[in-house]
Amino acid sequence: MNPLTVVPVSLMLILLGSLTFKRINTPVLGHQHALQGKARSIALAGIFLTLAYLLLLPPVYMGVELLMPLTNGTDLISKYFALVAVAFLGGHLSVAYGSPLARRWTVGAPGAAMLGIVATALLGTLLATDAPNPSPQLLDYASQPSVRLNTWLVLAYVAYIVFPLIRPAYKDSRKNPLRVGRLASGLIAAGFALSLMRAFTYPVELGATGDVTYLFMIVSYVSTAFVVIGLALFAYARKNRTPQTELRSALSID
Amino acid sequence: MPVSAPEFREWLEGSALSPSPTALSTLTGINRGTLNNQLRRGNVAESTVIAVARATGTNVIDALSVFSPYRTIQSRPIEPSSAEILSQIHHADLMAELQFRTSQKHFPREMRKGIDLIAFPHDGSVRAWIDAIDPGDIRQRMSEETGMALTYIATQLTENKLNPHLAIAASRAGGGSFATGLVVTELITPTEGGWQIRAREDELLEVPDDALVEAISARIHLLQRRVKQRKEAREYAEKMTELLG
Repeated sequence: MNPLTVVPVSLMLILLGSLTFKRINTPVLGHQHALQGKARSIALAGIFLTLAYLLLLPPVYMGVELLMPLTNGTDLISKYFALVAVAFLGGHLSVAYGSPLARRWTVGAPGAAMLGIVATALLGTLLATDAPNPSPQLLDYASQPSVRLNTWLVLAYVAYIVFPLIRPAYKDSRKNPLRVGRLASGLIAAGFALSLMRAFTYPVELGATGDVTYLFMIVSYVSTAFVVIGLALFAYARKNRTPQTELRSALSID
Repeated sequence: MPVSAPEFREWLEGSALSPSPTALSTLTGINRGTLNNQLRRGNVAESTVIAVARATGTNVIDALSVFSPYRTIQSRPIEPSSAEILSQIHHADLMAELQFRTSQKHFPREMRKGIDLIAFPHDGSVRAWIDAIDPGDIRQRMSEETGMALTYIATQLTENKLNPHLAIAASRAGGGSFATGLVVTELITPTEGGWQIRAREDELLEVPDDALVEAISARIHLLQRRVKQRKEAREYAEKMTELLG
């Protein structure tokens, strides 16, 4: 068990788990639950992403592997959870940021088709991999071309979803009337940009050896953390009724 | 409309001051790198001239009028007109005055005792100044004189600012004091621009009823637009926090 993989995954799990738990357990409007409110897709994305990271923890991974008909099927399930989380998030953000381009890409037939293609390709690459023993994120077999393709497929899908969202998120980080809103959208835009960057620089990653490879993985963790913290800031603003308190009377000069 | 570096150096030498960025930085407190860049590029900001004038106890209007873009600054009276002073009084203060004049019983002037007028610049004060001196085509004439687009001027006014070049062009078009444009845009202080210490308070007491009501009416029109913009901003913020929170 390499601490360079276990520690970041554990930290991400703590961050995601706590923020998702907080979001789900915070009533939106007194009676309304986060899973029933307008931002339910975000709560669902949080749950799926938390499960994806949970499955990557070695003890959990090994336990679930015992139930799998396919060696390293747990990795496949973890990636499926991550894809579904990204799909939920992309669809919801495309509506929130009012981006018709992102909506066309992520929601409806094109989004479902892309998700189906990537999910099938992930299964195909796993079947093509010679991986006799369980290995979270298939790290023990990272040199095999099928595993490299498997990893790139996930990165490419994330890039496909986030690419049309970067511009609207950046624009909101400039024009949102709330400081917390600008910061939140700035973090989301930065997180998306990092994800996109990693997908495009994947060939560079293939040449890396030793512990350097983990640095590239950390880019994805950081980008996820940025997006998750950005969304948590919006949740904080909503819970504290920041728009109502900060933008009280339009006449006030105080 | 920055002043030229050779003119600036000449002025410093005429005032027995060193033109070195280090000496100027020590004198004015402006960052040495900033001064170095201005001198190297050949364009010295008006604020630098004003900072040097203040540090040496020179009248800032006299100092600015040495430089070619500002030679005409003293060709008109320095003091502001009544309309210009009135334009820098906040609409809430104008309305308070309206109330005081309406009924001493219901709105005794003593209510306001010890409370200062709202300081300027305040939200929309630069636009209010432009409106106060506008002969009808002021924006067009500002654009023609400076070569700046009307949309740029509109953006500057929305942000409640105006660069010195535009402020001078506005004063020229409006036929008023050149110094007042620089006061309204905060380049120089009211005292430096020839304003009496209690100019706004005195103007508020002396303004005729019809001029007061007219000023309030014009400001209400501006206020309606601003309230609408703020309402839209708030609705947008609420929508985003609702959808993402």
